[in-house]
Amino acid sequence: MEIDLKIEVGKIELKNPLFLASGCAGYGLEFEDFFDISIVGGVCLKGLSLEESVGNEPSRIWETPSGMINAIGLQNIGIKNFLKDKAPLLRKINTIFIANFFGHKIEEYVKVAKILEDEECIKALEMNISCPNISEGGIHFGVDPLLVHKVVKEVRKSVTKPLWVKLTPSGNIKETARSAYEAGADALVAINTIPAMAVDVEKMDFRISNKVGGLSGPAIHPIAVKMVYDVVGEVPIPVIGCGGVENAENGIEFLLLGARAFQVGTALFYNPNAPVEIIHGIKDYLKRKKLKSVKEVIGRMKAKNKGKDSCS
Amino acid sequence: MRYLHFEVSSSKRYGDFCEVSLKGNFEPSLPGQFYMLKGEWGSHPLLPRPISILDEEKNEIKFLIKDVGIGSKKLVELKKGEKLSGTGPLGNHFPFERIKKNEEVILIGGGVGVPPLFYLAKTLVGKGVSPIFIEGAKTKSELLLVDAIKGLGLNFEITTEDGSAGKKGVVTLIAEKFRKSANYVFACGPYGMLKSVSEIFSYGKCRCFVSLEERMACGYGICLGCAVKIEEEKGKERFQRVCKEGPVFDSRVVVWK
Ligand SMILES: Cc1cc2nc3c(=O)[nH]c(=O)nc-3n(C[C@H](O)[C@H](O)[C@H](O)COP(=O)(O)OP(=O)(O)OC[C@H]3O[C@@H](n4cnc5c(N)ncnc54)[C@H](O)[C@@H]3O)c2cc1C
Ligand SMILES: Cc1cc2nc3c(=O)[nH]c(=O)nc-3n(C[C@H](O)[C@H](O)[C@H](O)COP(=O)(O)O)c2cc1C
Ligand code: FES
Repeated sequence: MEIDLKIEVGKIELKNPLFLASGCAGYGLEFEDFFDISIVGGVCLKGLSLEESVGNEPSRIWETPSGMINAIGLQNIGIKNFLKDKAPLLRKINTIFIANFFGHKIEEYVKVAKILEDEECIKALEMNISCPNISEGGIHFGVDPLLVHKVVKEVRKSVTKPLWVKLTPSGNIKETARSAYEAGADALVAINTIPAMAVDVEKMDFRISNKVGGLSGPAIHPIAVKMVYDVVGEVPIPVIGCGGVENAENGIEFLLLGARAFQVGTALFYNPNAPVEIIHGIKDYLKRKKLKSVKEVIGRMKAKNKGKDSCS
Repeated sequence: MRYLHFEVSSSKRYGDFCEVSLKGNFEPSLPGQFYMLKGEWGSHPLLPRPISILDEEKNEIKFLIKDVGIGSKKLVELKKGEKLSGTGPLGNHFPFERIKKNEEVILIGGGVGVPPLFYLAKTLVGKGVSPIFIEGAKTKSELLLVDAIKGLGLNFEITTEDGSAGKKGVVTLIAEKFRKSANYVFACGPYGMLKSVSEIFSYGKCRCFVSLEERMACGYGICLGCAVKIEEEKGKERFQRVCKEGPVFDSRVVVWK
């Protein structure tokens, strides 16, 4: 039996539902020693900003039970260097590239999006809204539904490419998801890292120089699953699950709840072969369940999604 | 670089240390390179640990690992026949290729910085270069690879802080003597030691290289977690990756803390 892994996110057709998550896959060119990058459904590139950003002082990472905290500080080469040095190489690769981007002001988001709009190798834009808004006292765009609406709407007006909004788990995700949808997002990605902190009791100091970082990895997976469930129930546009996926089962959880696709991040650090194993695992699962297409998995549990949350 | 599954072919324990040999179909490495190693213990600890290559022979690769915490403890407890995964060889290497036979080469190591220097010393001896090896430790029982280094037949000097072996004091005490004459210096060990070595040798004709450590998640350049500040041009500082542009850096470009 021929197994079909093809899916669509809006107008974009993908070989399979596996994306490499932003910040965990560089500029898409770093995996050639491990596997052929064209096997994945898509690659979300390292977050880009208008100007190059040097990132935070070390220490930038700290490991926690089944997870890690990072405060890289959105280090990136900037949009101009990306177009000059990386984009020409990406144009030759047969997979879908999604440009993750961010700004510290609404105007910056708009400017980067407009530049990305003209780059042929970029098939969709993924807005990272887990960023402090320096025009409004540093409050994170992503936690305030009004700000989410404002920034997404401005970007939406200026580009025609599919616009995905990557939601932060801070704040009320149903409200921010709805805001992003109403402002014109084509798809939502849930979730970004969870704000976290660790203390070195011997040195009586923070483990990470930035004090606060973002938690990722298997530790956050169940939280991400619940949030994807919430977002799928809230908006009619495609949702992409992200958070702690390290095997096929983790990804399929998102699909069953109605996510159209899923992303793999931190797992790439400790198993660079994870995408190969996960794609293989999804095929095995479909065979075992006697299903022909992964589309039959997507949203299969949606009927069961209904019903009220209760206290635990 | 490859991501591979290995089998432990032998594991020899010396106190806090363990010499682990792995069998597998790995790519040839150079001295100063390392592997990210993780056993089959699931999610805790989650990330692999960076470990320098001690030595390499056909289909066998050796590491010397010190138990300092959760991940290294699991690595030193691995038994013959157990499986683990590793990505490597990673990073740049000690730039030894242009060294000429008559040049003075000093290797300075402390603690877990000694294993990669042993690999370098062995490679140099193979090229007909005879380096001077200076090893420092707190006390005699913490000295590493003493017999193996002696076995290479080179000029070997030891310092211990308590005087229980070799000269009493720290490595720089001996290193000082070569301040004017050294052509090449390669150092690996605790940060403070590297900084002092750099202060002695970062001038004149001497080329001094240090192998730095930083916490790592991926080890192959994508997470940007292992940043170290480097002066790329006069007055222009930038973060580079210890795992990719390093771990070996020219001591003159490192922005010391
Ligand atoms: C390029 C490179 C090569 C290395 N080669 C070797 C080697 O050949 N043999 C060997 O035994 N070790 C080597 N190390 C160090 C080794 O990676 C760390 O000791 C190990 O990661 C500690 O993990 P853990 O889980 O045991 O310690 P944790 O439980 O995470 O920490 C225990 C203690 O060790 C300290 N520590 C943890 N990681 C590091 C680190 N990367 N650098 C300095 N201190 C750290 C912590 O601050 C803490 O105090 C190397 C490190 C690097 C970056
Ligand atoms: C080191 C690191 C860097 C990241 N950089 C970005 C980024 O630039 N933009 C972004 O939207 N998300 C970034 N993320 C978040 C991931 O894309 C992902 O949402 C999160 O890590 C949860 O997924 P995971 O548990 O599979 O890693 C980063 C995560 C990590 C660990
Ligand atoms: S450890 Fe990930 S970039 Fe160096």
